[in-house]
Amino acid sequence: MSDEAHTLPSGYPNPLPRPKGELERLEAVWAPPTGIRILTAVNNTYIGLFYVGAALLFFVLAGILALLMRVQLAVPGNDFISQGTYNQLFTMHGTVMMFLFAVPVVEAIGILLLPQMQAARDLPFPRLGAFAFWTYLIGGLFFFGSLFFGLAPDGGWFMYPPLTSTEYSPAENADFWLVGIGFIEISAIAGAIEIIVGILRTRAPGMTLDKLPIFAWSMLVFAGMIVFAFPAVILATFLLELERAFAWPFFIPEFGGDPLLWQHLFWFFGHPEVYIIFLPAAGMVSMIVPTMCGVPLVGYRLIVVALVATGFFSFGLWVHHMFATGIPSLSLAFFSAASMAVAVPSGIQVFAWIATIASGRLRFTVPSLFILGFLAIFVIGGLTGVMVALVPFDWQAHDTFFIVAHLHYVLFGGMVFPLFAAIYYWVPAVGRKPLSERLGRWSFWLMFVGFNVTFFPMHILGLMGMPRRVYTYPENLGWDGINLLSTLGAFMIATGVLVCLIDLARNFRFTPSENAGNVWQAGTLDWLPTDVYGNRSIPIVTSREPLRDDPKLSKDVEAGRYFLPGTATGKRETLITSAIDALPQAILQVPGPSWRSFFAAVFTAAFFLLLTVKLVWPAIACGIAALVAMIAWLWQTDPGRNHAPVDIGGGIKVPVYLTGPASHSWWAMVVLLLVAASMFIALVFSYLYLWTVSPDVWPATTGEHLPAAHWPFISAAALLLASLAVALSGRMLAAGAKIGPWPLRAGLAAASAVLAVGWLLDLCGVWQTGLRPDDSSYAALVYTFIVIEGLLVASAIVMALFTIARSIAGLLTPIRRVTFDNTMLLWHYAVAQGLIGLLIVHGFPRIAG
Amino acid sequence: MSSGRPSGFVRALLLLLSGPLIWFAHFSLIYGAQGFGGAFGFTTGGIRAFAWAATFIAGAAIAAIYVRVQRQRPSSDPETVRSLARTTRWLAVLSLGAVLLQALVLAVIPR
Amino acid sequence: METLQSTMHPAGTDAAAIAQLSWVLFVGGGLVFAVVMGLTAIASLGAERRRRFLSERKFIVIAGAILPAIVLTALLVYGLTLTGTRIAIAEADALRIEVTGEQWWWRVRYPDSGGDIITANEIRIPADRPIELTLLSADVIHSFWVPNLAGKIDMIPGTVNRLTLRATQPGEYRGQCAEFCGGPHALMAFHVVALEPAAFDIWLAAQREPAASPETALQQEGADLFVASGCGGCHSIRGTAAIGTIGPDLTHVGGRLTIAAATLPADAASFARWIRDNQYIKPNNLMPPFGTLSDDELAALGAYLEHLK
Repeated sequence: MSDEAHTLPSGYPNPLPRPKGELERLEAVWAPPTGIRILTAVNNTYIGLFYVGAALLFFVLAGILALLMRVQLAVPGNDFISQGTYNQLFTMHGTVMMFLFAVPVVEAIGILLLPQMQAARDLPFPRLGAFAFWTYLIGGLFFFGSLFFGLAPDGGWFMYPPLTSTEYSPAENADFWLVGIGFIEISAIAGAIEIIVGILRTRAPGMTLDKLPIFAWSMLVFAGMIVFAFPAVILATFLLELERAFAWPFFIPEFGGDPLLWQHLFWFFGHPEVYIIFLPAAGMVSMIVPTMCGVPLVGYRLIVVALVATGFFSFGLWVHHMFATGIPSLSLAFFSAASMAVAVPSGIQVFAWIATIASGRLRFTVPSLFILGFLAIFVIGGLTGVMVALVPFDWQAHDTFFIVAHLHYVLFGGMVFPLFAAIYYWVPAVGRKPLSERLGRWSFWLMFVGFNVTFFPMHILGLMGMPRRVYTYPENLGWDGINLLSTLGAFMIATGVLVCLIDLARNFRFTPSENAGNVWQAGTLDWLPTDVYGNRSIPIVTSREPLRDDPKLSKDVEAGRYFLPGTATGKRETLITSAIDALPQAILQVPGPSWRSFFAAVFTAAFFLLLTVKLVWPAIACGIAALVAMIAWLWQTDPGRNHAPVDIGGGIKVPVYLTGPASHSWWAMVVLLLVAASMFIALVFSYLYLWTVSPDVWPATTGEHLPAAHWPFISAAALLLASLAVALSGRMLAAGAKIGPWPLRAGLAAASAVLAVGWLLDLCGVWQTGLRPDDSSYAALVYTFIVIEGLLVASAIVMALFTIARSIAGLLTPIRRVTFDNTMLLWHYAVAQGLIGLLIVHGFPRIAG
Repeated sequence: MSSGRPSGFVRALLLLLSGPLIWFAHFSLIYGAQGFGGAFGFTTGGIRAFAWAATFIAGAAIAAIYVRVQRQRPSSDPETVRSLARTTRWLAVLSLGAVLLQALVLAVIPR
Repeated sequence: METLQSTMHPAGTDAAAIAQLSWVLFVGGGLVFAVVMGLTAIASLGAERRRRFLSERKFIVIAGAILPAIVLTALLVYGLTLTGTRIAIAEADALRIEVTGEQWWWRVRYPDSGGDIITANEIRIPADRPIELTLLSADVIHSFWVPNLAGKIDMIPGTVNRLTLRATQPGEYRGQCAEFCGGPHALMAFHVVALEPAAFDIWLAAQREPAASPETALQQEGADLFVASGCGGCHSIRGTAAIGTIGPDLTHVGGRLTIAAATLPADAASFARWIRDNQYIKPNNLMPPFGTLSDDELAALGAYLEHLK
């Protein structure tokens, strides 16, 4: 692209006065919706704040469940809560804390703060962020509401089958978990895509990767981990729901299934999940510590290394939760070793924080207190983590209160304490005044002492033999006094949280434009003056702590002396920069308030929830409504080159529209396909795994059920043909006016038909052998390959029809072609996955055994 | 660094992550061989030999990346490039350590 | 009896090795914690010249990466060595016992002790002899755990797990299901009673015998009620018409320490309570409550069952 900058201009800050009316126009395009239309807000500040608020609500709700449990356990043989209710309580406490609080709250803080830290005006896909938030809120509230009808899941937050299979859990409680949590995971993935593209492509010019704030690094790793970890649990929930609804036996040993398959898939997600929660919190700590000490972070690069290494190593730990399942000792040992390896990066981070504290002078503010508290608690959690990573120790500690203690030290200490530090630290950036130091100290000490009184004794309880998830216990085992102490501590924590909530109610007043400002003398861009449009102008970044290194920066930014001081095209805009060097590449027009994404979210949530309670027809109606709302929403995307390249200042002219691999939406599509690929790999693993467990249900033993070789070959040929047709359509699109739009439309329609036929042929080939999905785990897997491929094929065809519709409406041209490019990416991916699927389903049984 | 192009970014990213990626490949291979190898008819001895071979190759690959990144080191390079190179090397060191821990497992666990 | 179910009061070889490892970990972990907190205190409160050494990058690398790597490697080797020993290949003179986890009790079989001895919720073993446990599940995942003797291992449907353990001294130890198995998971416990070898042989011989015949009129009434109420549909009492296999074998139930998976003592009053109120005592357990039986009838049943030593 000729108009892309290769170096940053000099001559900044620009001393010339800004033209009249520029600021007013900027304010006008970014004006937030008011009244009931606040529901249509999509800007990251609003959505981020709603998101944080909702996540804190779930934190309080799940905390109340914990208090009820602690009351029940205060004395032996208590009958305060019935057994059935207690089982629902601990399932919901864990599930809500993990899926409705911990992951959403860090995602929320990312959405709220990342654009500010990077001096972007918004994230690249504001409506996607809004969609993710509303599905989460509505779905989460209904999910929580299941408690009041006795329908809440009661199989423990990791939902092990066969306890959660139809035979042992016939009621709908388990479905609430599978369907409810399944789609909340999808909302987490939507947020992760937004965060990855936002961090990589919408930074301030000059904010090269080595100047990226640590929090952004941690969120990048966080989002990357979600992309690879969440698909495994989505697949697991999908398989278990198929088993429950249609008797496809993935986990039933009599049919060649294996309950341990669930555990592998669940913990392949579940262990990274711990770090998914912890790393952003560590990122927050790395932002707050330097500010509170008045010095730059010591060991910036080491911390980046630690974050990335943790992100990777945490994928080698999942069997660490299965040490007691009887897996061979060599396998256990591999995972034990990886668990040791993951401790080293955490050590690096802890000592980098200590070094930073030592290099400056720590101010004992409320955020500092929470961070010191975090350090103490997290170190204990890390040490007990090393203990349980040793296989023999874990044989004793596993599934006891020792684990309950350990996981709360790691998660509550490692994530909730930094979160409260962050609340006290960043409130001045979004509120009119800071929170109260006095109330904050009360809150901290109550929580810190309460935490240790609650959870430290649980280590001892576990060693004294008390298993977790028991609703009662006898009195002769010496557990009574310790449990009572623990219960008292829990109420102390609750009081501490309450004090913080009172502080928030009294002192937090949200404002997009008149916030308290840089009260801590921090050095990062999140403390630049902001208004509804974010920063008045987008600065050039030349260091890791620009505000510290250039004391005039705030004034210059606010006076509009840097890039994009107004609206260049009359719309909401932010800068697109290159991924490594952060050179300006384009202006991105970001969408404003919309009912479309809101209703898409409402109907998506309604679809899944109605499906859970088996109201099939209303569910289908809502599903269609959701699809309509989504298409209406998508229709407004891909604005095309509606404006000539614009001057963003400093003589740099950038285009307002990018296509192909430079487009932000291409990047999002690639990340989405990585999600799909992760899920597919998890499916292939499941196939191989069940084959090793019960080869006797595979065709080599049963001697039947394999379609003749011509079926997969014809099917593969059709898939390839469909891909070819789409590639040719791309050529025809590029040819444009020379040949007119009809060859493109015909090409896409033909490709759709051929793709559908290719898929149907595979289905028919398998069906005509007489194989049925409920025959065996083998059969169920074969049909799962077909179903998942079918979902992809259906999406590809919907996208193709959408593209044809855009073409007919005149919204698709050789230049305005992002819609087509995205369809093409999805299309080729669907074909590639289909071919690999054919190879496995038809090839593997022929060579193996 | 042609960071303006996504292909340049992907190449830079893969180099940056090469240490951990090799660690992950190695981990998957040896765990996969241990978990699935028996079902494919390999003997315990064969699986262990395979694991040792994979370990040597992974260790050598990480070392090679470390050396390569260290060599290409003109001081005229922009700060970003040098910083990413140092990050790459650190990641390689940690990954090598993690691979060696797996080798330790092979050495200590008797069967 | 605060040491009845505790990992820190080992009475088995495995548990003892793990307890030793635990103490190493606790003391070592305590030291590490103290050092880190001390350094944090120096860093945040110490005088400038005292904390300068803490602020260098070198310090992060040494204290944060190199030292932990050395300590963790040593620990890993220690842990791996122990891991290797537990999967002790069944020793020649091991006594084989098969335990099946069922919602929410334990079925115990002694397969090679002459005659098929089946009991429930109580495992009697000879002290100082290796015991090879075959662990199965009849329904969902359970986990077999006797903290004083050895670490836990799951009982998984479709999978056969084995655990070899050895009690170093005679005594009573309590075990409990450690994997959440639904409903009254909290009330699924059992006892392991380690006996002197001679006492064990006597017990085993007694177990081979069929059930004791009623001796008093009350016991006889209980025995008749047992048949008339259909108890034999689920329970076996060897030597009588009761041959059900759904619930626990009751042939020698009166000789056990507890009933209902260590929920109640095995005495006449408890039997009576259990038959009538079991859904209150252990909600959702799979035995129906027999609310129609009168107090006298319950007393007779209790007397009969208690007599089955």
